[in-house]
Formats: sequence, structure tokens, C-alpha cells
Amino acid sequence: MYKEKYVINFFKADQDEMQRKTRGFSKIMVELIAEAAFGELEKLQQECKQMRYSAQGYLEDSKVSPEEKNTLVNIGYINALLDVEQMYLQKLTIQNEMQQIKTRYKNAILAALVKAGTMLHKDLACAIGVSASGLTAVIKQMNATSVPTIRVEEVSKYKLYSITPAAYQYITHYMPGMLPEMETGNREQEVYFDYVMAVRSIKQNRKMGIAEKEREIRSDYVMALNRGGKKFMNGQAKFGSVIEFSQKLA
Amino acid sequence: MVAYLISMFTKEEERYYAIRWATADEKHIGRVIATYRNFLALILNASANEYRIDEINSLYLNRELERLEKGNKEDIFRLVIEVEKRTDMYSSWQNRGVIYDLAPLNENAGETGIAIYPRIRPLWDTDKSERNRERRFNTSFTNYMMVRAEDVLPFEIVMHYWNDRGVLRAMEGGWSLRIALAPVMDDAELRTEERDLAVGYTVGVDGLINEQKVTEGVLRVFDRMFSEEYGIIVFPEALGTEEALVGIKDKMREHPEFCTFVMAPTICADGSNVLVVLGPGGVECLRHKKTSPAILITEDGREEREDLLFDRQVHLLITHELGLVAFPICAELLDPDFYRLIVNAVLVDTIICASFSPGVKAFHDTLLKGTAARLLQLYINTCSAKTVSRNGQVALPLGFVQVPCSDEEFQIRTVDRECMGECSKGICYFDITIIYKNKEFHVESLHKRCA
Repeated sequence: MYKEKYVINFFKADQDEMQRKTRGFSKIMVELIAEAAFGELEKLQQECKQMRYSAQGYLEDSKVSPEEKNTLVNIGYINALLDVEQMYLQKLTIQNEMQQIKTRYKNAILAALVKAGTMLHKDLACAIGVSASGLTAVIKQMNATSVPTIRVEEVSKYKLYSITPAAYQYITHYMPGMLPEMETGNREQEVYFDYVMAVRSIKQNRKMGIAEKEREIRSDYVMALNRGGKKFMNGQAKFGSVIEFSQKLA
Repeated sequence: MVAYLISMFTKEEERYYAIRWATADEKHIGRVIATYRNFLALILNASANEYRIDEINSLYLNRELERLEKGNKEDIFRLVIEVEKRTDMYSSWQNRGVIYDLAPLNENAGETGIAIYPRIRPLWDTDKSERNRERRFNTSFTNYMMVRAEDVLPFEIVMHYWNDRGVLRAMEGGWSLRIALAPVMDDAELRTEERDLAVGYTVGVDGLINEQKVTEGVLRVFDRMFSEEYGIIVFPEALGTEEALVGIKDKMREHPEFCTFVMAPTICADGSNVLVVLGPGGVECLRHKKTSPAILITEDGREEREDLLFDRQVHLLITHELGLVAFPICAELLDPDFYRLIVNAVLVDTIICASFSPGVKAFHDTLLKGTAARLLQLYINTCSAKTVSRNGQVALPLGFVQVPCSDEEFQIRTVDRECMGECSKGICYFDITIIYKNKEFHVESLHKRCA
């Protein structure tokens, strides 16, 4: 799985592909290190180490002088280390900041906003059981960190609250239980939402008569659900299935 | 997707619906939130999982977008703002170095006429900025800035991104910024060539007559300033040469640990007037060619126009500390089209202008316009501009510093020449320290040094 996503053949890959894969590789690596996922890291290492041979072969073949080659390799090495370090720090900063939030309403607010998306001031106050005036101070405490967790916006005379992507990312990784379960009841007509994540542009999709493929995928999905015997219950699993099914569209 | 949705609006509609939303009732707001809940949840999920939003076009989103095309524009206006809020901040900086060029983030910029760029707010509070009252998407956007193609014409934008910090020095309750503005000397003479036109005259500037002396002076003053580790060093226009640029770069390469940005003196050669901005370690951030010619009226009332070879590209630098920075060269700041572009269309936060001008009033007046937008602005002229002055004098003050603060006293700080002409014999520059503490700006020390 990692092999397909991140391994680069330096003799064949174009610049865009190389850039995309390198970026993806560093991100997943930092993520696994931050979570101390030993098993996954080992798997990543096994599947991706072939890149070293490709890289060495490419360098050997290069017409650049050995001294310059050496300098370039060191530049790349140092840049990679610093990039990874920066990403790791960024990740830890979000974790640290989220843990620093002291208010006891933290989890209640996050849960309410994850579920509802955007909420009006009085609705949020009602949802967590504080007075409307008390909520202002709580939100201030929530945002008293360098990584804002709650986005506050004034529309007309009303205040709207929503969760920031950074906070959502933290929740999906460290508090997955907080994510809302799938509301299957009222989504019967919007079954696409559960699994379809295509990589085509709108116009391409129209051209390719995507409706036909959609029907095929939907039946595949229903079959998969029947085989599994249970519905996907959280965002992560859902996203995994999305990718799997979206590959059929490629 | 943000660009696609924005492209459904004309500029007038953008303003119209913004005004409508300014008086929206609670019921309406609640209904729109409920309508797009699933749509927005999908975007938030994708964004937080580090997938670029324009690559994830699910059938669901496609179908919704198709439906939106026929939908209520008032609701879509709100949806645009909500979608932008749910897209994660720009972060694809890996494997690109520290300073690099940045194309629009959306691939459909040509198709939609909307370019999306990352927007990083400066490290000061602009709560009272007039921009907060503008009826635009950009007023509500948090991480991105949208630019309509029609707003930047006849120019094109070239963005550069500095992915680091260090120009500002942290202190309790705020930060400080040390700036050096260098008028250098008063005896630089431009090498010019006159050409007759059907109407008026053009004067091409092709370097300096006393090039060697000026270059030595530039390098001498640079050595002194650089050793003092200023955050920003600004040289005036037209005093540069390739030799001076190489000398400055060499010096900076010796000390990559100094986090200094240098606006090198612009180089007039081959018909163009080029400003080079150097980052820490002497890394070339950008090369900006002057786009607007200077126009001078001579003693006999003749109008002389600077003969320029230009390409209409406007280079801007995105930074994490000073926000978006523009570097107009002298007359560019006075060009209404250029000024509108940098201040209104792309929303710069900092303007640094280097000049070679016999007068400064027009510059002062233009800088004043930036006070309402709470811009940080630096302007520096040179005493050598007396060579193009009708009375052989250069108007004082030589420089201006404008800080984005509400206190009238500090809005535009002037920098006067006090060395009585001695600067041509020694080292002279202005040392400025801007302190931002508890949401207030102070220009603490401000003096020239001659040695």
C-alpha cells in the first residue's frame, strides 16, 4: 500500500509526481513517528527502501562533478531533515496546545461543533449547558493558545462558531470517539456521501458519463456492506472505503 | 472549489450579498447552516486529512455543485465563506527550500478568473483597519486570499513565499523590528541618455557615471549595517551595480545566521531598473523590474519621462511576520493602478519603497492613504537625487516610517538629514527600531549615524 503511494523511481518519475510523493512520504512518516506506530513504520521502511537504490543509481548516472554531487546530496539530506523536524514540531505544537486548554467545557464544545459544523452562540451555549454570557469567556479560554481551535465569526449581530481544521485533525487522531456516528436514517438519498471520493474534475466527470460508473460502484458498495455485515461507523473507516472505491473511477 | 464558487459572483454581486448578510436574521442563518452541513463536513474531513481540496471532487460534491449553479446566490455567498474556513492552511512547503515562487493554489485559475493565494496575517492586530469593513469575501477569509484577474490588469502577480521567521525579535508582550535605511551618499551621478519623442522626451538611465565610487560606498555602508544585524536593510533606488550586488551577496553568504532582508540598490542597466531582494544567507527572493516610469519637469518646463524596459510583473513576498510585502520602486508607488493593485486587490500589509526623487510630498501623501488600511510602510530617498532636482537640492525629510497604529502622533514618522553634507565623506544611514507591545506601536529610536 505504501509502495504504490510513495515510492519514486527517479529515472521515470516526472517532477510533479516526485514532489507529490516526497511530500506524502514525509507527512506519513512524521505522522507515524508522532504516534509511535512501530508496526506501520517498519512496513513503511520495508516498502519504501527501494527508493535508495533508485536514488543512488540516478546519482551515479548524473553528469555533475563528484564534489558538486556530494554537496547536492548533503543539501537534500539537510533540507529533508529540517523539513521533517518542522513538520514534527508543528504536529506536536497542535497536540500540546490542545492539551493546554484548561476549561472543563473543552470536550463538550468540541463534540457539539464536530457534530453540528457551525453553531450560533445561543445554540452552543444551550448544547453545553452554560449561560450565553458565560460562553464568551469559555470560548476565549479555548482560543487562548497559539493554535486556534474555535473559529469565531460575526454575521449580522450574531456570533457563529465552528471548529478549525487543526482541531478537527486532533480529534480524528486522538479522540475518534467524539466523531459523530453515521446518520444513516436521513441519508438514504445521499448515499454518495458515504463512499464516493473521486479524483476527476467536474467537467471530466460529465464527459465520461460518470452516472454509469456510479451505479456500478453503488452496487459494489452494497455488496461490500453485506459481506462485512456492519456499516462503517467512523470517518477514518469511511475514508478508507472511499479511497478503495474511488480507485475504480480512475 | 472556493475559486469555482467565487466565480459564480461578479464583484457587484459580492458586495450586494455581503450587505444583505450584514442584516441577516437568525432564522435565515440557521437554515443555511443546516442546508450545507453535510457538504461542509465532507470538506472539513478531507482538509484535515491533508488532501488538497481541489483534488477531491466526489460525485456528491459534483452533484451539489451542479445544484448550486441554479441555487440561491445569497446562500452560496455564505457557503463560500464556510468552505474557506474549513480548508486547512496552506502547508505544501515541503521539499521546496525556504524561499520559493508560488503559483496560484487553485488549478482552475485560468478557467474561473479567480486566483487563490495563501494569506498569512502579519503579527499585529488590524482590528480597526478599514479593510474589515469592506464588503468582500477577503474580509471573511482566514487562510486564503482571492484575486480576480480583472482586478490586477494590466499587471500580473508573481508571488514568492518565505517559509520561516526571524526578522522580528520577540519581547514580552510583542516584538521589535530593527530597520536600516541607507541614503548612502549625495554625489552619485546617473548616466543618462536623452531621446526625442513625438511628444515630450525620454531619458534612459544606464548606470552611474561614478560607478566605482558609489559601489565602494554601498559596500562600505552595507558592511557596517549588516554587522549590526538589522532585520531589514533598504537602499535607495538607482545606486546599484552588479558588482555591488555580488559584494552584498558574498557578505551575506558568510553569515547565513543573520536573519536580514536586504532591498539592494536598484540596478539601472539595459533599459530596465531592477530591484533585487535578498533573504538570509544572500538567497535571492525576487527580482522586480520597475513598471512605472518617473516623470520630471525640467527648468525650461520640458517633460522628461524615464525610458524603461518593463514586463508588467509585480513581485510580492509572503512572510509569516510582516504579512504580504510589496516593493514598489519610486514612481511605482505613485502610479494609481499599481497602488490599487497592491493595496486593494492583493491586500499587502507592508510596503517598502526605495526612491531616487527630487521631491517627497507626493510619496508622503500616498503613504498617508495607507494609514486607514493599517499598513506598515517604509520609504527612503537619497541625497544624490539633487542631480535631477531643478534647484540642486533634495527635499527633506529623506525617509518616512509609517506604523499601523491608531495614535496620530506616530502615524508617519519622518527621517531628516542632519549630517550637513558630511555623509558623502563617511558612512551614513538611518537606524530605526519599531516596537510593537500590547497592541501599540512605538518607533523608539530614530537617528542617523555618520562615521
